[in-house]
Amino acid sequence: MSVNTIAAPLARPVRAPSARLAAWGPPLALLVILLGLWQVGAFHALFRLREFQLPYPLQIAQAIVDRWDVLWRDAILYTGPEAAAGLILGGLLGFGCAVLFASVPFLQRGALPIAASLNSIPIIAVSPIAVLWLGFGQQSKIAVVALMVFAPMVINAFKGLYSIEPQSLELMTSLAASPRDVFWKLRLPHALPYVFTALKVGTTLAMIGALVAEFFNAQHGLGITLSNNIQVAKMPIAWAAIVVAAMVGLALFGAVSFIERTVIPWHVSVRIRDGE
Amino acid sequence: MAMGLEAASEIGRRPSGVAVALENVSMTFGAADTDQAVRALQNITLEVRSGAFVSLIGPSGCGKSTLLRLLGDLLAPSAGIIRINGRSPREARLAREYGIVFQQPVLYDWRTVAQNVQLPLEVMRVAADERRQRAAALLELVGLTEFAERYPWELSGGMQQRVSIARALSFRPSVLLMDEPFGALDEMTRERLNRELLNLWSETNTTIVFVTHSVAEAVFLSDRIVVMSPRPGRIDTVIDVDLMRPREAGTREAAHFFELVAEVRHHLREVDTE
Amino acid sequence: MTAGRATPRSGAERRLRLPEPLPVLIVACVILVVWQLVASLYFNASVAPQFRDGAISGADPKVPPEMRVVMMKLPLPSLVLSALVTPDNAPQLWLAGLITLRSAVIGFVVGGLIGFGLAVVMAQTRLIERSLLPYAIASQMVPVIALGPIVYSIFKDENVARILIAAYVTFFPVTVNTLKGLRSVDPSALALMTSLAASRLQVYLMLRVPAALPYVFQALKIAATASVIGAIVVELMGAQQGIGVTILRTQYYGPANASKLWGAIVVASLLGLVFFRVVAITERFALRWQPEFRA
Repeated sequence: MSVNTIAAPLARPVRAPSARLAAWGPPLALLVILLGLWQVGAFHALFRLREFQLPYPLQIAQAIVDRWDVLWRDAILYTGPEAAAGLILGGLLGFGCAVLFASVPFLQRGALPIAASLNSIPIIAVSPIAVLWLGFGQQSKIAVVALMVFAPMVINAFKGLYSIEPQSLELMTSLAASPRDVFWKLRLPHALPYVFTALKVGTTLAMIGALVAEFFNAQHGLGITLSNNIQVAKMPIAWAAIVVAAMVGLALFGAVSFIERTVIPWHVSVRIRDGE
Repeated sequence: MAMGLEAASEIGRRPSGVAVALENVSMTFGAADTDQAVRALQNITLEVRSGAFVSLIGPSGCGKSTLLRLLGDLLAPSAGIIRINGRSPREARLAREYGIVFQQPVLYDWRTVAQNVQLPLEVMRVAADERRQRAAALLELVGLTEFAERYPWELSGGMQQRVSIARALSFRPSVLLMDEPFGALDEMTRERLNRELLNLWSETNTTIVFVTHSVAEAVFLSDRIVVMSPRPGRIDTVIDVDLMRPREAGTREAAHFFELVAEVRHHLREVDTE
Repeated sequence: MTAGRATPRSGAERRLRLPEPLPVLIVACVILVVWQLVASLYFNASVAPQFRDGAISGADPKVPPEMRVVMMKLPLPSLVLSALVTPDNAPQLWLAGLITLRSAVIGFVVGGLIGFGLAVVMAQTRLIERSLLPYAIASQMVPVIALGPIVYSIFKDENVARILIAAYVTFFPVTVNTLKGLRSVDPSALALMTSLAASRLQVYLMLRVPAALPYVFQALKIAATASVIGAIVVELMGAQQGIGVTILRTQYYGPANASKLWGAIVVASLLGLVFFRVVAITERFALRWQPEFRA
């Protein structure tokens, strides 16, 4: 029909290979330059540092290679799973509370601000208390991570459940939809992008939480490795642990992004990749 | 409400009789008898026959959108009686007797076009097979069959609006409330969609209450045009549009068309200077 | 809010709506009361009667260890409250809090300025943005906990270290959000400025910066809490003063100081909350013109 050809659908944006290069090129170039400067001692000269205070990149790389089995085990068996499990737990709790607050207006005004302010509690205080309750093992770390992830999730999930365009709600009203229908067919799908934003923010928090929780109170994990090596001034290994932690964080972020692309392919942020 | 699709339309479909009746309806926003009170509507009395196409037109502030929302039970009147097929607006809404089309398409981003059309049917617990069939039939009616599996963002504004009309008709309501549905579109698309709307109307025999800013659109589409005046919103005149049906592109160039447009504009000028 | 009609309710139908901030206070009181009850029950259940005084005061060496820690695990709000207000404990706690807060605020301001400046630089060309942004992101992956001790061992001064960490956690969200905000200008508004032959600086000052402010404040609010926490974390590595130090010390000194420990935790949390509130109020003032802040 002629009407449709005039109003052609927008094409899905496709990324050309040259565009990919343009995206990755500059950061990689900068990385190489930075590492080069670091290796030849530019930062040491700038801040008047000694080698034991700031190891060189090659030393760090060497430490990563030397200690790879320990670092890998720490990351895959301890810190990584703790962060992931805490992220899921905190996310679920946060989402559950958001649903509750969205349904009970009094709680929205009374309890939501309190839940949102939980992220002001410093982690280093929570961690030993968690150990008192849950012991030295991984459960206490997971609890700490869950607490850290809880607040952003409550805030974001609530916004997604509650801040809906009035006409979308009026549509449901006009159809005499039950509150259950409104929840499952409107509020929940609408909230999903917000949930994923909170999860992505949460990956950084989860890594920090897991590391801090391990810092003094663990037997295994990147946090305790970091802490131990700082105490004996073995900085290359300490930095190696940091690098591995950053990689775990990126992997976690990537996993969440992947799940996001699968679950909400329809959302603006997922479908528009190039340009603004 | 697990009401079957047929039952809903049976009740709604009265071959003759009054589909929409307003009697001395007034609407005041804000606390009454205070400075903040806004009298949006005053003493509206109007009857719309079943199967008729009636337009509401008037300058800003005349309350036409408010009136539509009152009909749809999205607002409650401060005074007066409203009857939709003999029922209160609330009963009519719970019985799914009307469909509504806003100026924005209000499609849900996470649903495909077909799923958006099926939304009312899902809410009414219609079986999946029948839902799919109905949606397919309606998409064909509005000419969007190839786009059934696309997402709203892939469609142009005019196409999205057609989806929203298809959705409003999916459960065969007896009354269709339309609030400037083509206001955001360009003229050519608008005229095309006007013709499509008339086709749909003649096939489904729905009563349509249509709010618009465009005089030409009102004259082209309606049986009757209700000219409203603002502050407070009142009915100024009701003009019968006695153009022959079916109305086609050529109708817009007929002499009588221009006469009617001029008549409506005359009344609009009068109410706008008050 | 459940799906109801968008109907203005009549006076009779309108539900009782308590004025702010009453609901929060009510919920907070309910929580405290429940907490007090549960903590009392727990205490009485876990600690044998003859040890109870000893468990609280910490002065009785005969109290078994597992009974000692009860107070640390679940303190009585009443005791924590007294630790916060009684003259022998309270001034230390609040003073320590202020020391940490001061560094956090300085770092916050520094980080905010750097972040803003960096965003302006990055907004100039896509090339710079593409080069720098991944690092900005990656820098946040390096957890503060790891940087803290390193920065401290380099700079030796605990105030400097706190300020640096606070600046570090602030600059990234501010950069990202400012960038987004500077770019979020309505194309029509931009076209208007161009048609008036406005200079680049004018466009920035009159259009882009005001457009960016809401985004900047969003970041500042997050950074407010984060910079306090960051400053506290840095104190782990051998600072002498500050609320983080107080928390560490009271932990090490053992269960006798449970109320003091929890009092320090409360103070530390309040620092973040108060700072957040201050930034939020500044936002409300600076963005008076925004729709959500109008009555």
